[in-house]
Amino acid sequence: MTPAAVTTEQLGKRYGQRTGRTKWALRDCTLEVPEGRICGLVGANGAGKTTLLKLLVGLARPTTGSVQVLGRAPGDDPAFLRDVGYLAQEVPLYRRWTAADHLAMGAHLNPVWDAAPTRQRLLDLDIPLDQRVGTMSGGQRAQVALALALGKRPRVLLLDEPVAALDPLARREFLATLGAAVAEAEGSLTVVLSSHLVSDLERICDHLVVLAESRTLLADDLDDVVASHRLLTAPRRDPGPIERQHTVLRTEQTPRQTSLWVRLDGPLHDPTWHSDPLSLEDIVLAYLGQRSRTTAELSTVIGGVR
Amino acid sequence: MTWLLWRQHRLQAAVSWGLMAAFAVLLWITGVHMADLYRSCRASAACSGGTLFESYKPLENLVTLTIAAPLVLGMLWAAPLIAREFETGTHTLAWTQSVSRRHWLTAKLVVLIGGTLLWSGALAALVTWWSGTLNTMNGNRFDGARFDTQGVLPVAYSLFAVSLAVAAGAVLRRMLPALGVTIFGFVAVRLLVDSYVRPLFQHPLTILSRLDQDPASANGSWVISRTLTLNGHTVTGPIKVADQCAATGTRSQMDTCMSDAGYRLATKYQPGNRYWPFQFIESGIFVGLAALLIAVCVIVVRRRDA
Repeated sequence: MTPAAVTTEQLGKRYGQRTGRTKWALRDCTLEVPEGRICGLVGANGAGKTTLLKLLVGLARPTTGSVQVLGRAPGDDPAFLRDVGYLAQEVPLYRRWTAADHLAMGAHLNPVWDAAPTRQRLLDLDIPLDQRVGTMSGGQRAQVALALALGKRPRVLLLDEPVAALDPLARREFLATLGAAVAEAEGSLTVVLSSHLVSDLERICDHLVVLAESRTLLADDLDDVVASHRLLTAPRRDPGPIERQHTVLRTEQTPRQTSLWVRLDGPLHDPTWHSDPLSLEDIVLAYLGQRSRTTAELSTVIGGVR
Repeated sequence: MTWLLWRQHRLQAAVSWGLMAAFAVLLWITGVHMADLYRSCRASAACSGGTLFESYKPLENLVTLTIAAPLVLGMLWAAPLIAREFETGTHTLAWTQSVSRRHWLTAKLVVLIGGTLLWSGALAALVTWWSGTLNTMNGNRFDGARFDTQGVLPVAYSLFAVSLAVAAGAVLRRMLPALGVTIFGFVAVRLLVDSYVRPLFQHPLTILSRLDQDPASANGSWVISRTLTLNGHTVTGPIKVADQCAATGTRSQMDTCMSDAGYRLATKYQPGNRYWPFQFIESGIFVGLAALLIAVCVIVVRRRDA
C-alpha cells in the first residue's frame, strides 16, 4: 500500500477556551489519505471541514490527538509549507492586485515556482493577467488562487470549498484545471477537497471522508464505498439479523415493506433481501442523516470503517 | 518578503514621503526667511519682536499640529498593517507560501518601525530646526506643545502610536476597533503622562517674587503653576485687596503696593536646563511602552490560530 500523505489520530480542536464558551469544532477525527489520491471531504455546514483543513496546513493547532502531513507535524516552518498548497474557503486574494502580481508573489515567496506553466494555465483560461482580481468574476478569482496554490508544485493540496460559490460552468472549469494538475503530477500530488456537493466530488475524487457533528463517519476509497453500501428491501420484517451482522445507517418501515441503508461488513447471506446499489449521494445522506444516534453508536461506525 | 512589502505598501510610502518633501520645502523656505527677519530686526535697536512673525501665525499653528502626526502614522500605517490582512483573509494566503509566520511578521514590523523612525525623525528634525527662531525669540522651548513637537520626543510618541496600533490590529483582527483603540489609547496615555507624570520627573523648583517684578525663573523654564502667597502662606479664596492699595490707580502701582504689603508670587517651575533630561526620560517611557506592545503583537500573532 502506498504511504499515507495525510494521517490523523483522534484529532480534535476546541475553540473558545478563553471566552469560556468552549465548542468542539472537530473531535476524534481519525483518517488516512494515501498518497496520490484526490480525497473528497463531505459534511454538513459546521461539521468541521474547515477546521480539519486548517489543522492540516498548520494554520490552527490541535487541541487533542495528532496530525501528520507528509510525515511531518504541520507547523510554521518553511520546509513544511513549501510542500503544501492551501486555498481557503473565502478565496482570499489582494483585491487591488492583478493576477500577474499574485504570480509574482508566488515566485518571490516560494523556493520552487513554476513560472511559465502557471502563467500559461491562466492565459489558456482567458484570464487577463493585468486585470485587478477585485474586478474579476468569482470563477476567475478561484482560478487565480488555484494557480497560486499549484505554482509552488505542492505535494499536498488542501482546498476548502473552492467551488461552493461558483456557477456550474466555472465549477466545471475549476475541477477540470484541478484534474489536469493531478494528472500532470503523475501520482505525486495528493488533494484534499472539501465540498457539500457530492456530485462534484463524485466527478473528481477517488477517496471519500464523511464528517458529521465534528466526527469522522467514513473514510475509504470511493470504489469501496460504493461497492460496500447497499439498499436492502424486503416485505416488512424484523431488521435485527441484518443489524447484528452489518451496519445499518437508516431504516424505513412501511406497513408492507422494510428498507435498510446498509454498509455490508461481510457477505450478505440472506437471499430473501433484495439488494440494490446506492448512489454516492444516497450514501452520504444516509451518514449525515444519523444525527440522532448516540456517541457510542457513532464510535462503532467509525471503528467499523477502520 | 521585501518584494511583498514593497508591493503592498508602495503607495503609502510614496504618499507619506511626498507629503514630507512638500512640508520640508515649505519649512525650509519660511524657516530661512524667518531667521533673516529676526537677524535684521535684532540688528536694529527698536526690535521688540512682538509682531514680527504675525503673518506666520497660520504656519506656526500648522507646525503645532504635527503634535498629531504620531497618531496619524498609527492610524494610517500601523493599524491596517495586520488587521487588514485578517479582515480580508489574506493572512492565510501569506502564511501558506513558503515563508514562516515569524519571518512574515518580523519583516512587517521591521519595515513599520524603520519607516516610523525615519519619517518621524525627519519630521521632528524639520520642526525643531524651523522652530529655532521662534524659540530664541520667545526664550522658551519647554512650554506646552513646543516640548511635544520638538527634539526626540515626537519620535518616541510615533513609536508608541504605531506599536499600539499594530498590536491592537493583531489582537482585535479588525480595522475599525483597532483604530478606536489606537485613538483612545494614544490620547489617554499622552494626556496622562503630560498632566500627571511629566511634572514629577524631577522635583520642581519654587521661587517667590514680588508682583511687580518678573520672576527670575521665567527664562526658558517650564512654569507649572503660579500662586499668590501672603507671608509664606498660599492665599486661597477671593483675594482681598489691602486697604491701602485700593486707592491706587494703575495695575503696576497696585502690584507694588501689594508686594509692599507682603504679597508674593510663588512660581513652581522646571528650569530650562532640564529640557534634555525631560525629553529623554519621557522618550524612555514611550519607547518602553512601545516595546511591550510589540512583544504583545508578536506573541499574539505567533500563538493564535489563523
